[in-house]
Amino acid sequence: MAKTATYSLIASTTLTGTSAQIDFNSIPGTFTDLVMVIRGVSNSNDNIFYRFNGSSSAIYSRTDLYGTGTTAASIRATSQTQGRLTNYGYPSSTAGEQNTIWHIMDYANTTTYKTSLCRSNRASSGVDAMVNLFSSTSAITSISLATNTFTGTANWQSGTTVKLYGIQAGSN
Amino acid sequence: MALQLYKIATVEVGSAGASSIDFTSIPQGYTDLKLVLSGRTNKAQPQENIQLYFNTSNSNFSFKMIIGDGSAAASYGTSNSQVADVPASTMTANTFGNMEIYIPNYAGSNNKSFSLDSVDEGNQTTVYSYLTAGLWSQTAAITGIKIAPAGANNFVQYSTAILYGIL
Repeated sequence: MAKTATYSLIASTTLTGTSAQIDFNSIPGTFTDLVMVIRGVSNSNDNIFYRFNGSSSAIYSRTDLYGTGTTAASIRATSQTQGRLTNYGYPSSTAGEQNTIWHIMDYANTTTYKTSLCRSNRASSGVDAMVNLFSSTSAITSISLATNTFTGTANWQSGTTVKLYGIQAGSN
Repeated sequence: MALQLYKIATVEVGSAGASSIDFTSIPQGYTDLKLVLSGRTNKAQPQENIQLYFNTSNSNFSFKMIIGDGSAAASYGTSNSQVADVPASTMTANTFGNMEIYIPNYAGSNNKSFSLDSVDEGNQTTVYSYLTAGLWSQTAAITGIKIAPAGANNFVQYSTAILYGIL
């Protein structure tokens, strides 16, 4: 019988105050994929940005398919210094309004660039289905999250929760 | 490291069909819920909407969604909790649609935002896929989830729903 695949909590954060950045460091390379679940609370409708391994090189690109309730469209950005997880499904200042579910595939390999798929949802503003690319062959060992931008002034607010899971493929 | 994804309950519709699929007395010890449906109804149409209930209520919901029908993409907003499609009786035989709902912090005291995907695939020109942002503007913990065909119809045999808890 095949071994059941596992879905294991690596780390979680629940903010009780503000924080400019949320960091997950020393991510073990023993899983096949990562899943991050974010319930974001921001200063004021600020988008979620990320960096892998602390890199601010212009090696992030993305495609967003989004719906606003009246418009469905897609936008593209390349050579960015940070990745992005929201466009219309951004966190507001009210807890419980927003969620982001982010799948990062084959994050620990040292051969290929890292592709990830993300859904961000806020029913009062819109929905995003995003593909992000981190053009680096380095294994992902840390993930940093910011609202607005990494150079902006917006902070994560109390009530934000972030959980990082590891997915382990089943084996025979 | 311990397994963190738990199957709470499975509902498999029998030969008599079922007017709804209900999960009640949902344990409150998980952090998130995930509901997966493979469904089809007996409505005399190619598709049928699925109505969503939390704690027996289909009120206080709001949604924004992207819809693709095979020829165009569009976006809509609604407060009607008929938010997914599954194939119905005139759709290609033996074809079941899929729906997945992910509900973070279902037991918390804030409003409940959730993510919903659904498809009603079949061998015909027009089928629908949905990517949906959902919000239930209630602070009560979610203790029950019900999904039902929007009309007075039944899920047909072999429709299956599984509810998972995630720690």
